Amino acid sequence: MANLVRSKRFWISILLSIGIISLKVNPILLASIIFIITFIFNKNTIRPLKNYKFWIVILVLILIVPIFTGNQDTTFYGINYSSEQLQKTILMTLRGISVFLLFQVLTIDLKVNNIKPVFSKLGIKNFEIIYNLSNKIFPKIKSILTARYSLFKINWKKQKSIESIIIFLTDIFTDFFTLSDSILSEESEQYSVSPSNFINKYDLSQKPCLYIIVGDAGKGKTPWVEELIQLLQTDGHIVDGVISKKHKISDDNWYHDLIRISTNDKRQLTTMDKVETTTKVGKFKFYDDTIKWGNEQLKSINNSDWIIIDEIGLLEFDGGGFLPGLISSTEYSNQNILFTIRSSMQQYFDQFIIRRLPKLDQRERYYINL
Amino acid sequence: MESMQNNQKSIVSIAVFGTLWGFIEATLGNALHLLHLPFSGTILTSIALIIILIARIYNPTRGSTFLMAIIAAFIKAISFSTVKLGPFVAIIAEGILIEILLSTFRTGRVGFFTSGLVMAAYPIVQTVITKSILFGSSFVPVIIDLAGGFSKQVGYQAGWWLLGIYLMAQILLPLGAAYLAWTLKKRLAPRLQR
Repeated sequence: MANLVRSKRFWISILLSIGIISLKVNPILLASIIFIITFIFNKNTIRPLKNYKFWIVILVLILIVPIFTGNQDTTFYGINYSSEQLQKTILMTLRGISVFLLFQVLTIDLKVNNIKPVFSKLGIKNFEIIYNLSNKIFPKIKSILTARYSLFKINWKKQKSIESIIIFLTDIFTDFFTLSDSILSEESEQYSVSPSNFINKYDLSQKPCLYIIVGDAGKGKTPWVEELIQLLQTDGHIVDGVISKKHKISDDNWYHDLIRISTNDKRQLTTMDKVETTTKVGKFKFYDDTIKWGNEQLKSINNSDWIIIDEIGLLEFDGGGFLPGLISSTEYSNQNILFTIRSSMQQYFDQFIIRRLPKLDQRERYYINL
Repeated sequence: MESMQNNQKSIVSIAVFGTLWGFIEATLGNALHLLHLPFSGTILTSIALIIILIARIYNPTRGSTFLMAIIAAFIKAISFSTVKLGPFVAIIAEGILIEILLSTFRTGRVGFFTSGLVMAAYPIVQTVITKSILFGSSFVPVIIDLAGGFSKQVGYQAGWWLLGIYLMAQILLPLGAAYLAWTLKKRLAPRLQR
């Protein structure tokens, strides 16, 4: 049905356009046909013609212009006018009404919901967030203006001066600054940093930064990162690096897989079983060949917009683990870099960067606590 | 962390001042329209200019004025049962123009008064464009002929004076708004430095 209506509008618009182009052939007849077609299509299209403002220009064109311009060759009740100019302005007027009706046909059923997706699709950053926030604060804005206007009316009775108006406006803007500040602090508190909030909060197109996702074990750092990767990839970013995904065998037996983000290749990284290894952290034993493989993967990263390493821990802080791969992939990189670390490691992180990855120390650094 | 705060501040301020602009357009704009007052477009443009300039001092982020305009245009659009494309496009065009000017000249005296001048010219240019689309390309020559013919018949350059007065009224309001915004900027400076 919608398609039918759309096609009906399309064909009527084509018809009206042809009528406008050939208006000179028989202006009054064609303009009348255009009017009738438009009225039949939707009677609301002609409603704006009731507005007197629309007719001011038309009256000037038809009644005034022929009297004051052109060759005054005809007289009407003693008033000289130019018949050539009158014909010209009548044609202009009929064209004006016809073009206006064409615009009405094109836009009469246009709803906000038809236009809104256009702006979202155009990729206007944060449009949806701003639009939703705007809807939320609309009543507050209304009440501020109403309250200030009531005060202004009282003051205006006492002192009618420009100064009163300036004070009124100064107060209004001060209220709006205060409103912005209070919303800002409210938003800061309520924004639990979900991956989508993260993307919206940070200007990811600015110079490459270092983001550190901080959270205790079991807080969901890896699922958070996985969601972020998906969002970034949907936005067209090339994401690479490694994530370490925890798997449960039983309540007291877990292991981790190391997964290359760009290729999805994976190797088992840790185990709680008894195996021969040189690397052990807590209950977990690390497979040396997986660490070696992980470093090779990190060294081979190029052409990505993001490097994500999940997670940096004691091994790297002590100069082992994936540090060689980290140095190689991040030191001269121009990508955004994101690490995850445990909360207990945060206090040593700045020192780790200075000592082990000094090139990254130049970058702006953001900690996101989950 | 500062950058994140700035981004968030920018989002909030665009929402607040864009909504304020849209609210004024929807309420005062529709009231002026119903009262059939002359120069209602220029009055609204002048008020919008004050809001835009003060908002830009609070949030000098590039692109913020354009986004404010989109929000204002949507609020204006919601105020009608169907979207009136004219006001919608006009608000967004205003936003784009001031965005370009403030990105170039920033929020100093030059930026304020250049914005005022351009906003003064904007309704005139808008009228010329819309009327030329409606009535054809001969609309402007006809009006100029009318001013000349009226002057010739009535004398005292009356036609040119009338046209001049109309144009001056269009120009003075936005320039006055720019001056008022500049005065407000000075008054609001202590609040903005906080």
